[in-house]
Amino acid sequence: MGLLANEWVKIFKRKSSFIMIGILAIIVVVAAIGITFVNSQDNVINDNGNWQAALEEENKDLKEELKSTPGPYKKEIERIIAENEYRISHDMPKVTSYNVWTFMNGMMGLVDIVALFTIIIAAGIVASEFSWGTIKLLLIRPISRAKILLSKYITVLLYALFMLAILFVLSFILGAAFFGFEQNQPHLAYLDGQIVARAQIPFLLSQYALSSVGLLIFTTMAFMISAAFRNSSLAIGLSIFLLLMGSIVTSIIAGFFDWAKYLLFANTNLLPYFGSGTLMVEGMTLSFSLIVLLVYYIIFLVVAFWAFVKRDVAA
Amino acid sequence: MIVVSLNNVSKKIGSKTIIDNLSFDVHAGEIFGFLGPNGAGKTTTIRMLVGLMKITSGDIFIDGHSVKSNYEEAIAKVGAIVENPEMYKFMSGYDNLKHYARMTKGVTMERIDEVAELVGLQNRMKEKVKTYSLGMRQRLGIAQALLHRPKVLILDEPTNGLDPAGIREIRDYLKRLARVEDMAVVVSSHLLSEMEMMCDRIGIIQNGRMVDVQLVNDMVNDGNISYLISAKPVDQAFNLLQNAFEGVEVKVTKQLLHVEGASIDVPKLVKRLVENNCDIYEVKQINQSLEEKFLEITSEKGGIA
Repeated sequence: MGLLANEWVKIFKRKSSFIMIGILAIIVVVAAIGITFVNSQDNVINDNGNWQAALEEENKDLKEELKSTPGPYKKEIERIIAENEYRISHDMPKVTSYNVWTFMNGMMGLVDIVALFTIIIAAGIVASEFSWGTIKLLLIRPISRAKILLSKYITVLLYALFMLAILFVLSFILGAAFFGFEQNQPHLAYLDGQIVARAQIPFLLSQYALSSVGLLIFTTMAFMISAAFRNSSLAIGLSIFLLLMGSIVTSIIAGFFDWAKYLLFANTNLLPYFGSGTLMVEGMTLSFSLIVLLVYYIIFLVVAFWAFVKRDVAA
Repeated sequence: MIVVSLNNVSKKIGSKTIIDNLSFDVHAGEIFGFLGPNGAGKTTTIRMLVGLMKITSGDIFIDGHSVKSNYEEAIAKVGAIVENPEMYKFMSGYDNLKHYARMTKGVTMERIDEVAELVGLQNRMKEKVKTYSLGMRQRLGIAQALLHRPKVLILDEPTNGLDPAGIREIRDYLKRLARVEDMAVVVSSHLLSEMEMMCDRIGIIQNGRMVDVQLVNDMVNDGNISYLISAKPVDQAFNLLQNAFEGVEVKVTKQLLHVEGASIDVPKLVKRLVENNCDIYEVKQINQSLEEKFLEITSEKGGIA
């Protein structure tokens, strides 16, 4: 559709968009080189001789420890024990050196950088038209305002997807080139007290998707602020401030009040439901979080569209 | 044929009435000037015309389509520049036009080239808009407005920032569009002399109300005609003319006779002066300029002109 092409062209006719992609690529390259360098420095080869015995020993200690640990940490220890048992029975030694999968797993943290860049794009895509004054010529076309805003929103999502794809593919290529496929194992996920072996690529894709839930929500929030306040610096500033401070403030509140679980930031990280990290408030479930996120998401979109379609353009 | 029609259009922001029951029509093939002091509501009216602002009450019809209820049909017939011709500065002129072309059906690549040539930008189309002068941006703005062959062209202050040659060029160009392509052109300005030369009809707006709509020729020449006579001795000439003719008023300003009246018989007047040994150096008809007329009208109807 022409509108999407327009928005895409407007993003990529500006240098800042390329700078963002460049920064992302540079971080991945630097990380790969840095890890290679550190690895070559302390190249401690584990005693491969009898790893089964070592794991059994570890499990024994952990079971002992389990008796004295308080509730929240129990699960993690149980997970390690289960994983160790699985490794012993399936003859899968622990991955001791970096390979492409561990690298890609590590690079998943860069989804936050992608989120940051997408927020900048989302914050600017409506507000910039107002500050450039081009909004007037943009809206006096035989196209409804809702369609124009929708094209902008889809463009933001496509941009995020594009950046995520770059991150995924680049970290795969660099990971393969720098670290290779040594000790190629499936991922061992811990679900309902069971260890399940999963193929790495689908596992990593699902992890990326889960990490991107926060990205989607915060981007939509930035987009809403952009469309409602028509000021890009406000949208960027407010969204990044919330992105950085939101989870801290929420975890503080969560220490005192139970209603913290209804706050956006208590729900944006879905990874704990799939076996990594801890929940901000005890007793939350995946479906609860999804519903809360959905409610916020709908509110953001409704406000964005309402403000953009209904308000007069006086800029 | 009426192309643009405003019916009792009002705009309220909060409790303040910005535009109060405005009605006027614009016909195909005419250039309609929209004249008023700053803050009178020109830009607000234009914004309502193109749908950037909601109409509080009343309605606007463009080529028979209501802006309120059938916006997409109505706006498809409109090409406009609202205030400054703001374009995407980081893109070339060509990319800007392509951008707008993608938003309307049936604008071909040939049409873009055609329009670029029409406004004389064909050699600069590959350059970024930030390198353009204000005049070139203005022309690119007009090119953008003409892309989809609209029936109405709406220009807010089209001669802003143009040099005299550019102003003349735009003026001739707009006249050609109106005469040849039978387009209705709505132009707003506070440059009165400019409007006088460009427009066929002028609507004067003040405090959100249409004070007067007149044909430019009528406006300039209606009613009294005055003459400036340079004669010596002035006192004698003044005495001769005063009370000599019915309905003629004579004043002396700066050693010149200022004669004003509805029907002045100039030869008779001159004859009387010559017969009485007055030397006449010059007799000149004064066209009351639109500016004076404009100030006169706006102050007559009770307001700050």
